[in-house]
Amino acid sequence: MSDDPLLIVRDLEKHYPVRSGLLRRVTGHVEAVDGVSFDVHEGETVGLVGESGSGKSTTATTMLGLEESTSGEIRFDGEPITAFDGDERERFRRRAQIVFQDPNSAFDPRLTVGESVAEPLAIHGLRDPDRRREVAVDALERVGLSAADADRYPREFSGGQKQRVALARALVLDPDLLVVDEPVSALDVSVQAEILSLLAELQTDLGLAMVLISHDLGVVRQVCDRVCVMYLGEIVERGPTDRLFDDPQHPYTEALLSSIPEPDPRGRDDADGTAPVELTGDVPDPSNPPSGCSFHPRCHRVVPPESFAFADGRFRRVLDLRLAVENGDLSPDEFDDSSAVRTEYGLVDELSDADAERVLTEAAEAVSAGELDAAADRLGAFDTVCERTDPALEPTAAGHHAACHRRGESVEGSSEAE
Amino acid sequence: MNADTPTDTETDAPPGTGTEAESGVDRRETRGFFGRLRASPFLSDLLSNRLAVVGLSIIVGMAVVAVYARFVYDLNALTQSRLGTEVADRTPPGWIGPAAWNQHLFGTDAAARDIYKRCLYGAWLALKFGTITVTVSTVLGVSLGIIAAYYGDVTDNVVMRTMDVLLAFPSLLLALALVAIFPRELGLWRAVAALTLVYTPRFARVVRGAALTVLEDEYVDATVALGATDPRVLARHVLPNTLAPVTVQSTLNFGLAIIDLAALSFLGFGAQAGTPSWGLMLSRGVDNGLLTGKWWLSFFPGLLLAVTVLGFNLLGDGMRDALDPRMREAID
Repeated sequence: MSDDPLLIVRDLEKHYPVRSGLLRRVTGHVEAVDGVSFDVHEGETVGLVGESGSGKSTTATTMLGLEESTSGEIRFDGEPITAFDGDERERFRRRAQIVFQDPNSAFDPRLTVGESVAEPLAIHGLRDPDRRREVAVDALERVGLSAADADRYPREFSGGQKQRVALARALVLDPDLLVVDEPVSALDVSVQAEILSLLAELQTDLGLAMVLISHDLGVVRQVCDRVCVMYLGEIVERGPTDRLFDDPQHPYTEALLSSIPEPDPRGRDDADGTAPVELTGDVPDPSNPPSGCSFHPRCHRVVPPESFAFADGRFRRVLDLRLAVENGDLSPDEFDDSSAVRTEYGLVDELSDADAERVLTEAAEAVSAGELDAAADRLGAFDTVCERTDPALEPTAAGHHAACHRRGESVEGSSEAE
Repeated sequence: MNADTPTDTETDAPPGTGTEAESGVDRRETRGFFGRLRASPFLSDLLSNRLAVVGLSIIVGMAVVAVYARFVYDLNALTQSRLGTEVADRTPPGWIGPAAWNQHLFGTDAAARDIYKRCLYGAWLALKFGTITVTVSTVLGVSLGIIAAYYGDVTDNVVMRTMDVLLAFPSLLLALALVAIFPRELGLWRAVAALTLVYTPRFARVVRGAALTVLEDEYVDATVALGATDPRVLARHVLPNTLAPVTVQSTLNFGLAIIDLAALSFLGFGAQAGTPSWGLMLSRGVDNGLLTGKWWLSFFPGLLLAVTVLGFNLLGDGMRDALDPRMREAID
């Protein structure tokens, strides 16, 4: 493994214009990818995980130059890909391959899989059809299919087999970098494991650098050396797979990890007293992301304001109430009195901090009286650092990078840990 | 790595070991256009549809008749009036009259010409001009449709809104209006030109829709990611995958083209006087004999016209069903 990374991505941004109205004027931007940085070394597998809409696939297509980036730098083998001329671009297309998500529409239905697998060779100038076929058959055999399969049509294959063919097509040019976008999400569970072991096997045999995109942490854990967790177009945590899985530093990673089903219910983390984390709310609208840390509207570990003392988890509920009042997501008619408001948001018991309790009581009464503006004023006292400033991706005590305000125990000089 | 997962066991059955006869497909057979056609289920689906086979037989029969008439009969002899010769005008077919049964099988017309020969030659004219109309409008429509779909945005809007304007008129009415643009001496050719313009938007619309669907598919992205150029993607992947709906549309439009050409001739905007086109014969027959009981003047050209159009429609429907089995299930 050489020291210089094969692929360097720095502060990558990709914004899509939002058009509306009769004249289709640009009225805003969706920040699909908003400042993403990572490296991929030769022979290693990097995972990009996150919910749908977190910008994983856009990161992949942008870093391969299939879509133009809004800003940021992408270097492949030391060269910035945006500066490529025609020949260099063609060489880059040969050395960096991508396998898309859905194997069922990945092939031209009119071509036999042999022809599909051979097409990259034709595109890159191998004129002899017999030689093309030979190379294609070799590639098919490498992914566990047979020479006879080359003459069959895509519709004659199962999803797992089609994914094998897709891998064969990506590998036929002997690339250095392979990007696989959700390689198994369209497959049966039993076939998923086969494809994953095939991926790992190919990577070891060919010394590929691989970027694996998935929403499934189980898949990532099985295949990847390092993981980047993405949320709303940003990387919120980054580190070696085992360390990140053992000691997640970002609450979002924690929530994702606790969503992996355990085969044995008794083996759950309940031993150390932590209940599974359930995220509340939906992924925010990326054209109008929340201020500060974009995860704060859903975070179960949101940092309470310093001027009040909150018991564990209580501030989350208070903040839910505040956000609902501010966004007008609740209608006062639903509540008969202030205690109904408190019941709805799980705040029946008095808060331990007398000052906070007073604010909350007044706010709850204002809500039940229908004075949402007054309630919002009162609740404005409960502001948090999470909504004011966007935390940077920094080294943590656990030895990898995370972007969260809770890293109070952040250690200086641990930046080499990654 | 998950060590206890056997990597060499496919849980799915290997392809082709099932009931399909395709497991025996030889490598060479899947190459080339006809090999592909035979390997795909399209042909067997089409041939198992009885009505489609009837339609195909009618068309093949008509084509044989047309070529026969073209090379055996002399167009001038069929066009010029034969009044004044020994043949009487408006003689009924031999098998209902006093003459030998095979004398003037379809009778003679008002200019004493043999209707049987004229009808057969009419098949040649109908197929020839129909083919030209459909071919030219298909090529124009496919080009416009693919360009609109691929370049999108302004190009798409300009092309497709123009097509929409043409589609807004009833086809025969628009054809009549367009015929007036071309000089009268062009005869049937001006009907062909007008109908080509009338049919082009239909193809453009069908192809644009099909091309948009194909462009959505991941294999287009995958081919682009492999480094293929735009022309290669369009010619090798997009165009071939839109040909199926185009073929259906062409076949159905063929019948329509023949009937519209006949209609324009009937109305006096197509074939010049004397030409043995079905539409013109129909029109002259109605004027010269229908009211006096001389039905054969218009019956036989009309019959051939109807049968030919029926053939194309049956074949077109069969092709559509074979390409999209869901339609068939919906109808049954």
